[in-house]
Parts: sequence; structure tokens; C-alpha cells
Amino acid sequence: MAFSGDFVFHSLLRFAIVLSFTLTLVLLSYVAIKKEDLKTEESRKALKNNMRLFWAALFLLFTPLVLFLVFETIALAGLLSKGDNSAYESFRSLLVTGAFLILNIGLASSIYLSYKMGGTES
Amino acid sequence: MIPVDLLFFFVVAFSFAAFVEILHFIPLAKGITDPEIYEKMFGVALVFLASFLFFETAFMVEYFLHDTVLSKLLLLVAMSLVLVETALVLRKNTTELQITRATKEILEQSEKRYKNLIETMNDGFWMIDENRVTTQINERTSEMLGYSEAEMLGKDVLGFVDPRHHKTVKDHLEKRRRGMSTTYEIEFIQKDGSRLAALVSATPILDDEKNFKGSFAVVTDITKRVELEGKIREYSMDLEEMIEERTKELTHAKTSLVNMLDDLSESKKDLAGAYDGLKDMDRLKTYIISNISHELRTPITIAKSAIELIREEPKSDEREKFLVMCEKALIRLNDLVENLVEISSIYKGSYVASQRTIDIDSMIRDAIKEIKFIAAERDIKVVFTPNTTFSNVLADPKAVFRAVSNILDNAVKFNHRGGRIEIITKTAGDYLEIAFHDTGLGIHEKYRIKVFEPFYQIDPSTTRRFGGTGIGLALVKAHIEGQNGSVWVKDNKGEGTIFNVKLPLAKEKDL
Repeated sequence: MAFSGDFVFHSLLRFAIVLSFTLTLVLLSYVAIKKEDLKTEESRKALKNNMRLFWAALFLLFTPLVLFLVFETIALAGLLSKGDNSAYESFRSLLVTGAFLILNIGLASSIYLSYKMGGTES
Repeated sequence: MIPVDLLFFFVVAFSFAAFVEILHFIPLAKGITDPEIYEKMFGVALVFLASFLFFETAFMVEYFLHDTVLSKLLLLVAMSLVLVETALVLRKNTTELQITRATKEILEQSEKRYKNLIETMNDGFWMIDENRVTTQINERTSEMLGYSEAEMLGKDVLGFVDPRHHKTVKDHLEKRRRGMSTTYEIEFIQKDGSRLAALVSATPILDDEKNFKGSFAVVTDITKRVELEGKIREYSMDLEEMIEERTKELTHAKTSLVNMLDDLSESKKDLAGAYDGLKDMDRLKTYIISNISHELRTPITIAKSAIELIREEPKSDEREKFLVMCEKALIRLNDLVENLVEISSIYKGSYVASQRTIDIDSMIRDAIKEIKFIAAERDIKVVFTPNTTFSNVLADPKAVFRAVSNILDNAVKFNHRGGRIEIITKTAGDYLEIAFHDTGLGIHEKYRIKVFEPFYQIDPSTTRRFGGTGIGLALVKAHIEGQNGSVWVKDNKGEGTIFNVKLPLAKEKDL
């Protein structure tokens, strides 16, 4: 992989990780702060009206975990075989980038859902 | 230093376990709209988000700091957090969810049974809210009233009730608002306009704070029963009329019976009177047979003996004496027979009195003349003292004369030798009173009424001694009372008897 391309890729990877960390903090803060508002009957009804979004966000949040399990298992297998893992490492970085992008979408969806539930809309 | 391959192993193992736990989240997530699960899911969400922070930090450490060991340790913490925290929460919630589902299932079954029960019951089921609006009915209710379910739901219950029963329904609704169950009979108007008599058993629906939220009622069609009751009522009325009619007949029969009994009672009295009369007649007959025959025989014997002696006696003086004896005996016999005939005619009611004005003074003097010789024989002095200027009475002269003669005859007969008889007349109002004082044997107070009864003798031995039939005073009483007068006897100051006779004075127009 070329240096410039590798740099861009790693920048994207790092951005995705930092973004997901930020979005997680935002979501966590929002849920913690608006906890009582989100527990109201109106919020519950809002969730009931947005179940598709709920399932989508759940799928997007859990998928990176599954992907993580997969590439960690492969990494473990490579480690145990004592072979050359440099090719896999590049592939793993790609997988991690993809996983974090999915996670970011999931977190954004969750923030949007939380906003719909606890915000002005219902 | 921790070996990297061992850390990898644990990370993979924990990740796999966490993945398996996450799978449990799926059924829980399905019930997230349930209020209870919804609230509990917040804890799960926070744990997930916290684990994500560790997860992301681990990758930041790896790709920014290139520290693989710290990265794997953070991943291990993240996975452990997911594994431990979510496992506890999810399992607990999964159990609750199962319980909730089981409860829901039971509730659904119960509701199904309840609906089934309502739908299959023979009676109508009718539920209304607090504003009388129909919220639920069963098929039977629709059948009874002829409306479809859609036509009845959301409508005021009074819209189906006969207007005459609106007040009843409102009154009972008011009672249900106070928490009382009520049962009453009303009439509904069916879709075709006909009426349906129904028995309504209504129960209030109250919330936890006992607020009235409506009521439900079981509606039973009693049209046939009401019709039967109507027929029974008609039969009952007919029966009552029949009973009344029969009662009237019985009352009439009873009245007739009572009248009959009264007639019988009268007849009994008449019969008793007749029986008494017959007894008197029988007594008279017996007396005549036993006593009068003797009285009759005595003068006949005397007359017979006197005639035999006349036939045998050559001297005219002696013959004359026997002829007088014979005449007296015949007179006595004649008197006796006269008395019998008279009392017989009085008893039979065939005696005819002819009333006219008579001078009682001259009549008493005539009567005294008749007994003068007999009284003289026994030295009895007879004195007449008229104490009145007007002595005319209205009476039958023959009857009054017989009465006065009989009293004087008794006064002589039962007097002592050398005794005294005094007759005093006086007026008392419209009557003339004649008092016959004698100095004879006297009459005890207890016999003073009985002496006027026919054939009554105070002492039979007296009759033997003085003669007499017991008819004399009975004739006196009959004759005097026949003239609207009266006769009574009282004591003559211990020296004899006073017979009082009272007769009505003649008026000037009678003269």
C-alpha cells in the first residue's frame, strides 16, 4: 500500500475511532441527562412509533462487535500459527475502519432516535 | 508481562461470550414497548455505551499509541463489562419478560374465555360507560333487540329503552353511581318497534379509587314470562270474579238459611206456645175428668136423691123442701156448666163481648141480692159504700156481672161465720176502682197471682171443704181484662183479702 494512501487510510481509521468515541460520549451524556424525560409515557410511545429505526440502530451497533469478534479470532489464529501476519494486519485495519464507520452510523442513528424520543418530536 | 497471545485468547473468548449474551437481547428488545421493560432497558443501554467507550479507547490506544497489550486489556475490560453487566441485567429481564409474557398469555386466555362466555351466554350482555354510552354488547343482545353491534356501540342506552322506563333506568344508574348493584324490569324497543320485556341485573364498574367508570348488565328476555303472568293475572281475575259470585250466592244462601232459621225459631216458639196450650188443654181435660166429674156428680146425686124423696114423701111441706134442694142442686150444676162453657169459649176465643155503658152501682147491688141469702145463712154482713158520683163504666154487662158475682161468691164462701164483706167504689183518673174487702181466710202473698190461673187451688183440702172448681177467679180475670180493666188481690190488714177491680169509666160521648 502506498505511503500517501496508507496515511489517508490510517487518518480515516483514526477519525472513525475518535468520532465514534465522541458520538458515544454524546449519546451517553444525552441519555444520562435526559433519562427522566426519556422514561415518560410519551417517549415510550415515540419509541413504539419508531421501532424500525430502533432495530436498525441496534443492528448497526451490534454488527461492529460481531466483526470485531471475527477479526480478533483470525488475529489469534495467525498469532498461534507463528506465521507472517503483515498482510492480515492491513486487512484487519480495513475491517476495523469499516466496523467503526458502521458503528458511527449506528451511534448517529441512536442519537437521532434518542432525540426523537426525548426531544421536541414524538 | 502478560503474554499477548493469552490476552488475545481471553479477548476472543469474552467477545464470543458477550456475543452470545447479546443474542439474548433480541427477545427482550421485542418487548421494549412494554412500560416495565422499557424502563429497565435504560440500565442496559448505559452499560452498552460504557463498554463502547472502553472498546473505542482500546482501538485508540492501539492505533494512536501502538500499545497492543494495553489495547487488549481495555478490550478485555470492555468485553467483560458487556458480558457481566448485560448478562445480569438481560437474564433478569428475560425472566421477567417470560413472566410477563406468561401473565399476558394467561390474561389473553382469560380474556378469550371471558369473551367466549359473554358470546355464548343465553342472556344479553350490555356494558356502558359513565355517560350511559354502550361500549360492549354480546351477540345475544343484538339478537334480542334486532340491531347490529355497530348500530348499538357508541349509542346512549336510553335510546333503546321504552320512554316510559327512562326514569327507572336513570334511578338505577344513580344507584350504581353509588356502587350498588341493582335488578329491575323494563321494556326495550326493538328495531321493528315491538317491545321486549327484560330483567336487567346491573353491576357498577369502579376503578381503584372507587370512581364510577360505567356498568355492565345481564339482560334476560322475560317477554314470555310477562305474557304468562298476564294470562295468570287474567285467570286470577276470572277466578276472583267466580269466587265473588259464589260468595254472593253463598251469602244469599246464608241469608235465606238465617231467615229460615228465624222462621223455624218463630215456628218453634209457636209450637212451644201451641204445646203449652195443648198442655193446658190436657190439664183441663185431666181436671175435668178427675175433679169436675166429681163436682158434676155431686149436684146430680143431690137432685136425684131429692126427686126420690119427693116421690116417697106424701107431705107437701116436705116435698117443697126437697124441691128447693133439687132446684139449688140444679142451679149449682147450671152455674158449673155455665162457668165451663164460658171459660171454654174464652180460651177458644169465641167469646163475643158487647160493650155498652153500665151503671156499676146498680150492678153491684144486683149481685149482692144474689148472695144475700147465702151470706145471711152464715151471718155475714155485706155493706156497699159507693164513693163516687159517677159510676158508669164502658163494658160488657154480662161479663162484669159474672166477675162481680164470682168475687162476692168467693168472699162469702171463704169467709168466717159472722164475717163482713164491704164493697167500696171510687174513681181514679179515667178508671173506676171497686174494692171487695172480706174478713175471710186471706191469701198468702206468693199465691196472689196464681189464684187467677184456671183450676188453681191453693189447698185441695180447702176445695173439699168449701167446694169450687178453680174456675171462678180465672173467669174474673178473663172478663175484667176483656173490658180493658185489671184485677189484683192484696191483704186486708191481716183480716182477710181485698180484691180490686179497675174498669174504664164511660166517656160522655158513650152515654
